[in-house]
Amino acid sequence: MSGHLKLAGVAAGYGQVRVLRDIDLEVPAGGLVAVIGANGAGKTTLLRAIAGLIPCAAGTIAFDGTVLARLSDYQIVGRGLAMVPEGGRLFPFMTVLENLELGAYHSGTKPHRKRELADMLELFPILADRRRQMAGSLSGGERQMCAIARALMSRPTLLMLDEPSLGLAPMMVEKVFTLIAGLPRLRGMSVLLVEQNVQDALEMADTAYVLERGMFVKCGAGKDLLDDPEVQGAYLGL
Amino acid sequence: MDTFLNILVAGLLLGGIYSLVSIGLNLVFGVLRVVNFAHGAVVMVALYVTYFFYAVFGLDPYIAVVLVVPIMFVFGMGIYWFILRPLQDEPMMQTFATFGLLIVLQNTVLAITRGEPHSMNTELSRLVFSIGPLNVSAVRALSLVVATIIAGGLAAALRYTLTGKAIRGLIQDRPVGVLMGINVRQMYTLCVGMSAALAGVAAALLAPIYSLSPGLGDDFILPAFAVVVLGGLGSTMGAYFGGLLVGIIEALAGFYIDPTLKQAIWFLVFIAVLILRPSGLMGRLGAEEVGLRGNA
Repeated sequence: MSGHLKLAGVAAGYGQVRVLRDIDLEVPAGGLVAVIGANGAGKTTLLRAIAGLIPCAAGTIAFDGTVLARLSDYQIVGRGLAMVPEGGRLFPFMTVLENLELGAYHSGTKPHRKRELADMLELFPILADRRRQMAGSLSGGERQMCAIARALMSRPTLLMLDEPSLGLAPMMVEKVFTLIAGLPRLRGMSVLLVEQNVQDALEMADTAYVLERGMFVKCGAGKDLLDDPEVQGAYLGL
Repeated sequence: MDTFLNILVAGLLLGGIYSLVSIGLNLVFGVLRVVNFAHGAVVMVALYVTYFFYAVFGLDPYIAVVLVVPIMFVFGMGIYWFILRPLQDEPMMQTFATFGLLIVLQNTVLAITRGEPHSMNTELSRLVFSIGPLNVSAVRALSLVVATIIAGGLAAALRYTLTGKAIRGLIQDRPVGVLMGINVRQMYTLCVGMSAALAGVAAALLAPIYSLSPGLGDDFILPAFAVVVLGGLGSTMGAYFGGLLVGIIEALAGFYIDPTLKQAIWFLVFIAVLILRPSGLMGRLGAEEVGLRGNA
């Protein structure tokens, strides 16, 4: 089983500004881990550091035993680590189909591209209907579906999602979360989810971390954190 | 009427050359977001390389092109690797550096050739067809045909090949392109190389028409800027049609208004387009900014 991510003592930020300090995090193979926190806590920065879009100032990030800092940014997806950025970030002036094709750009997917594409269109029937449409014209929910499908096209063993529920209608949120919760079982992959929608994220996570001002202040089973008075007070409005 | 049609055709054929140069300029601008002031000088260098094969080995420019294009491709890769890449986090500096490169290329060629003019008159360059009342220069007609094929081919490659899709992806969102596994440096190297290779093709077509001088590139780079704005930043077909349009405007203005004002007139058109339709004929409004979206 692969898809095992381990961060030890990671610090990262932009220029002189340190956003993250001393981050230890582990996503076991086949696990679903959530990172919750307020706006500006450093959740997106965490995912960007793991994906290699910004360098780590300290610490190591290892994925299935490979230290990611040894790879170039564009090589990381080929190791099985895919990311769905905030808002989906589809290529707006390309069709849904072209977006999916670029998801499978890295050479490791070559023998599987056709089958993956068929799988995705089956998993997301709405994308099959819209496949010749420009991605920029999709609705928020469709965009998020397409972004997840695009990330899955790379055949990842770990999928990272940045606030997939942001800006979606409640019904759509439920749909997206059901899909995400099913990924470890359905496709045998691990999931690292970053969310402000704390209730739903904690309900589905095996393990969850609470990020405040760039540091983890709490960590535990999702269900336990739901019952934690501090978490309830700060994030669930109870 | 015959005069008008003849001028129109002459403008169209001139436009074909402008198109060819502009497509290369636009490729680098569209993908790397760098205004390559040296592009005209690259065309000039390609012409001298063509002349080298002509003078030393007696190769016809149309035959030498099979050697000149790969040489220019490597030359373009060198421009990216040694000049643009080290400055990749400073877009402004990249543009200034291309201006520096323009001066270096002009002066180097001037030093080597001592500024003596050369020309490559082949049999073909004097061949003129007559179609009814129209007189069409064979070599100029060929350049229009080649520009058309290249514009169509490049647009199709960008649209239908996986590499082309990757290049368009980088234009629209570079960090997400990286997440897809696209090697940005490799794609940039390819684009600058292709841009210079197109300058090599242009050189073969220009060889029978223009006499060589180190400042030759200036004749093309100014119209090319107008073309790129007119046609739409980053749009290959826009650069193609924009080139034809600027050629026609130049020919008509040169005949009906005043030959000395012809460039002033297409610059007026250029400014009018900037005011009335900033995205150009075929560009996308804001397309020049999409590529700068820096965060993921």
